[in-house]
Amino acid sequence: MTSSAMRIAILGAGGHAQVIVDALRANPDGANTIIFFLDDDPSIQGMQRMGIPIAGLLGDLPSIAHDGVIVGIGDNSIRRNIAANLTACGEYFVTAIHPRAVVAKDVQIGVGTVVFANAVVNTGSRIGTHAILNTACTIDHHNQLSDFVHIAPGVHLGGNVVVDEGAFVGIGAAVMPNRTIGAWATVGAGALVQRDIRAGITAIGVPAREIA
Amino acid sequence: MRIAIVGAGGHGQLIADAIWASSDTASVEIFFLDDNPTLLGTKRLGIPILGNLAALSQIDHDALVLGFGDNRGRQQFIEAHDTRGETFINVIHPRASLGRQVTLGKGVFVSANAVISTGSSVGNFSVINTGCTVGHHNRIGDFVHVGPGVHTGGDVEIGDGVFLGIGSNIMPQRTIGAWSTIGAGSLAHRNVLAGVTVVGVPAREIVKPQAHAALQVEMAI
Repeated sequence: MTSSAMRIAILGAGGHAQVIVDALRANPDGANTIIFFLDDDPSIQGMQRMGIPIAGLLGDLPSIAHDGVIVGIGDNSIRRNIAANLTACGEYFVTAIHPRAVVAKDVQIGVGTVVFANAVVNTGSRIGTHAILNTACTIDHHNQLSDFVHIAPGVHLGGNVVVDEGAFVGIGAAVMPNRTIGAWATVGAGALVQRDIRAGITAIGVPAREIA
Repeated sequence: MRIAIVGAGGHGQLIADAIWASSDTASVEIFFLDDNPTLLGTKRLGIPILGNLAALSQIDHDALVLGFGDNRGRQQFIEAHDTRGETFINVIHPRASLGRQVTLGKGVFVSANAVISTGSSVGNFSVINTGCTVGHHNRIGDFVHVGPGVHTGGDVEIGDGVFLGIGSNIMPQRTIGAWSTIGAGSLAHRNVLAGVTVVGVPAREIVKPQAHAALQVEMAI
C-alpha cells in the first residue's frame, strides 16, 4: 500500500509495467500516487503510456525524485539483475497489490513484488521479493515462494508448494500439493506438475516431462 | 460465537482464515482439536489446539467445522461421532461468489474467489476450494472436494465423496460417480464411473475401485 503523496518509479514501460500501474491506480489512494516510467527503449522517450510519462532511461533514476521503485519487467533474470544493482544503490522498493486480489492477513510479501487482480494467496504462505503473482493465479496454504519467481495468469499451486528463486510457472499450469519447483526452472504453459522439478530444468505437458 | 475446528493442518487453518475474513473478529473465538499429540498446547495462526477429537464433548462450543481436506476423513468423523447435538456451520469466504438459487447443505467450506453458479446445489461437508468455478445447475453430493482452480461446466452431477484434483476440468452435462478421483490437471470429457481414478487430457481410468482410496488420501491436503 502506498501513501497519498508517494512518487513511484516503474522500471520498464511495456505491457507488464502497465498492468502494475493499473494495480496501483485501482487502490483507494492510487489516484494520488505520482507514477513515472523509465525505459531503455530510445524510440519511446518523452512519450506516454496510460497518460504516464516515460521520463528517461533506467540510468536516469537517481536524477528524478521518487519515494519507491518497482521493477516492471516480466523476465525473471533481467528483473533480478536490475533489482540487485538498485538494491546495492540503496533504492527503496514497494509492492503493488491489486485491491481485488485476496491475500490472507498472515501472508508476508517481499518488497518489489506485484500481485494482480483476482490472485489469491492463502494463509501461511510466504512470498519473496520482486516476485510476480499474475492475474487470477491461486497460491494455496503454506506455500513458500522465493525471490524473482513469476507465477503466470491462471496458475494454481496446491498446498505446501515450494517455488525456488527465479522459477517461472507458465500460464494455466497446475502444481500438485507438496511439490518443489527448483531455482530458475521453467514450467510450461498448461503443464501439470506431479513430481518435483529440479533446478534449471524446463518441463512441459500433462503430466510435466523434462525437455531441457 | 465459539467455533471448534477439527483438524489443525493446512486445510483447517485455511478455514480459520476464512472465518476471520467473513466475521467481526471480536465476535468469534476459534479453537482447534487434533489427534496429533505433539500439537497439543501449541498454536496455529495464534489459535490454540485444546485437545484431541475425543475432547470435543468436554469443551464448550457453539459450532463445529471439519478441517480435513481428505473426503474419507470427514466422512469417518461423521460416522464415528454422535453429532446430533452439533451445529455444523457453512464457512464462506467473503470473496467467494454464489449465484442465485444456489443451495448449500451443512458443514460446507467455500474458499476465496470460488464461484458457484446459479441453480447449483452442494451437499453436506463438501469443500469448494480456492479459485474454482462450479457451473450452473450442478448437483454436488456430500463429502466432495472440488480442488483449487477446477472448472465444471453446466449441469454436471458429482456424486458423494468425489475428489476433483487441482486444475482439473469437467465438461458440461457429465456425471462423476461417487468416490471417484479426477486427477490434477485432467479433463473429464466423458462420464466417470463410481469408485475409479481417471487422469490425463482427456482423462483415462488408471485405478480400479478397490485401490483408489489410498491415492485419494495422498492427493488431498
